[in-house]
Amino acid sequence: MMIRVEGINKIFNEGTPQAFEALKSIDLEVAKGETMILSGVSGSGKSTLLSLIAALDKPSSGKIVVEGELISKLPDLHASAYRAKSIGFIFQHFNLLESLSVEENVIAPLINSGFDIVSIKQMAAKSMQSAAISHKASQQVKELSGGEKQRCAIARALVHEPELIICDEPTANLDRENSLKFIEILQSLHQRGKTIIVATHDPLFETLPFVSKVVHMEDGSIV
Amino acid sequence: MIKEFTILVSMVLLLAGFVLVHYVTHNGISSKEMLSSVTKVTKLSSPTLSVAYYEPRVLSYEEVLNPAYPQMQTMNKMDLVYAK
Amino acid sequence: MPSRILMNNAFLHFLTLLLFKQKGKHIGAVLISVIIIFLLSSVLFISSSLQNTLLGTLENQSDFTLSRVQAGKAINTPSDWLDKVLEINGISKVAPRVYGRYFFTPREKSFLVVGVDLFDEQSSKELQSLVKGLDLKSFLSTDSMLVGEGVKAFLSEHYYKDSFSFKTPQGSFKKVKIQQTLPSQTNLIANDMIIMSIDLAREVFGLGEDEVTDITFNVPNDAEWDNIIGKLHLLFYDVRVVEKREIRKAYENLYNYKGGLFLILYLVAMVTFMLILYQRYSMVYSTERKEIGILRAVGWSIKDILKLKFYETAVVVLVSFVLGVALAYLYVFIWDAPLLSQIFLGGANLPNQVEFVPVLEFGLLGSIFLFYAIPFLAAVLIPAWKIAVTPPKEAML
Repeated sequence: MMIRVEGINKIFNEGTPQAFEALKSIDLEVAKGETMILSGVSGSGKSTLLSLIAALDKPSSGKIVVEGELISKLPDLHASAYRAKSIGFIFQHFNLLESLSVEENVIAPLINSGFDIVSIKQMAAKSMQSAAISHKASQQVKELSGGEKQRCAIARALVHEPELIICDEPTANLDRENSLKFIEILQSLHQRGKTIIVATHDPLFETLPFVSKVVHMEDGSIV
Repeated sequence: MIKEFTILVSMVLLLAGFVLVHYVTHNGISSKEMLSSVTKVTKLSSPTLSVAYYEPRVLSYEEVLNPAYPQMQTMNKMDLVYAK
Repeated sequence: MPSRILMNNAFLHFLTLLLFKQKGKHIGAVLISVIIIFLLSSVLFISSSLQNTLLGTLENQSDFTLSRVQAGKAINTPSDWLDKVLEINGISKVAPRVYGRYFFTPREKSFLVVGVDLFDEQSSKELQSLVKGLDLKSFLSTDSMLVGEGVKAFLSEHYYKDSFSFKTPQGSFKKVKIQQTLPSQTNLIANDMIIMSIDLAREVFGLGEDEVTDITFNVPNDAEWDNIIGKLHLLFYDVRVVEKREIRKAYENLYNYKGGLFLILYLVAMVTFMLILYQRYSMVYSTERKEIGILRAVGWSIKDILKLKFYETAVVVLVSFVLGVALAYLYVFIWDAPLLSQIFLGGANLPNQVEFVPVLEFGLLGSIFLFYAIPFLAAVLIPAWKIAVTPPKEAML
């Protein structure tokens, strides 16, 4: 998946006294199959940039092109379809549906895909296996440990076989052991040819052998 | 959970169905016929006193009841007899 | 097979998942809805049933009732008025009525004593069909009476098992035998009624041979009604005429819980409930908000979210409504509304147990449904839409 970010600016609360410029003229390119690390302290704009690439939000100006498609100005229906088809997002706080089980969380992205439930469950089973969480399929998410929740989030992010995996501070709430397990999974995804962007201030990521490039951000700009 | 949902919906529909069947098959005719017989015999159709039928139309203070007939309703309430 | 398609439908699967896994959230709303709908429907069923039944009894009532008044109060009507009324063109079926309230002073309760001409073939036939096994011969030959259920219970309670002695205006006592009890299905109008022969009733109330309580008559041509009333007022200066159509209007307004105070109370309850729902769904840190944000983040569009919330709410609304109405029906028409019927029928005079004839006003039920479902859906969907249009990251905080 080829990603091109051109002149992206993002201002929150634009036009009010509380206006805040989170991103300032960001230009970036990610080639297909690359693993890119976005590093920087909290508040540097990493999460905001990831949200824009995932079409979870719209930029104030500039454009983002993914595989030749302009995704920065997509209407909601198309943006949702883009996320459902092409993006697997792994959040810092996992963002799982607490009242549901692991399997039920994993199938959530495919509910509106047009597949019947049997096919969806088969895809979920495959995804849970690759995330090593199959043995907890019927367990409620609120009963899982931090590492297990992360693996559930990974399974959910991969269930629809997206080309682009976006991770926002994936190891922030994990201990070292689970962090290393996560990195192993990332490596296997890289080997499968997935394009991966990870936003993190964990120095563990910067020295990984499969990382193609590291981009440092500070105060909303790339340094 | 579709099975459980189907059971819930079936139970609710069963209850509704029972109500409809009862309504359609209920023989209210016998009650109506008996009431009709009483009316034909007595030529009176007003409800009993324990079925309070009056509607005080004006919010005014209660008039003193007739001491000879303490249970008799005052004039401003006996709409059926003293037509307005 | 349609059922197989349904069982394999992913959206239905997810919908039912959320419904059952989050039943704690839904049970509260269902319970409150069922209670409100149940109470409202019960009251409406009772009032519709009573109205319908009473309006039905009016069919056999005469068109007009004529009575004499003096100083604004009804007094006994002279019997010779019967012939004078009959002479008026257009009037038919003139009949006298002898009845009145007999007060049992020690307990301050009253009975409606009705005198019936038992030698009238029609009346005696109706009476025999009404009271099964009535020995008319014995009834006519002795001073006997038929009593309503309320009267029977009252008299038994006060040790009048087989007979009761009426105190006449002359100061003497008239002992009357209790022949039989009227059927319970007649309680609506006959609970406190005593039926006896017309002469006996005259004796109990001290009416002369030349007196009746009032006179009833029919005017088949309703275009003549106002004309006839005018003629009667000219004929007798001290007359009061009550029309059946006024009684019909009074019955139609009976327990008019469709309007007025009751509707206001219902509206207040519903608005309060909807506000609570709206508040719950709008809460900044609610699980609802997070749930919608997560679904948006994994690829659900605003339309998908609203579809999910709509169906989720629709199921709750429909189940609550059907349950509420069905329970109300069972409560009123099968169990005769214990407690509630006493509240609305009142404990005035003798205790009464009325059997309600099932009456369903589908138009009214439809209105109740709309007034309940639409605000409920709005209270849920509006906040859901507001959250769905928020950037998912913000919603997930």
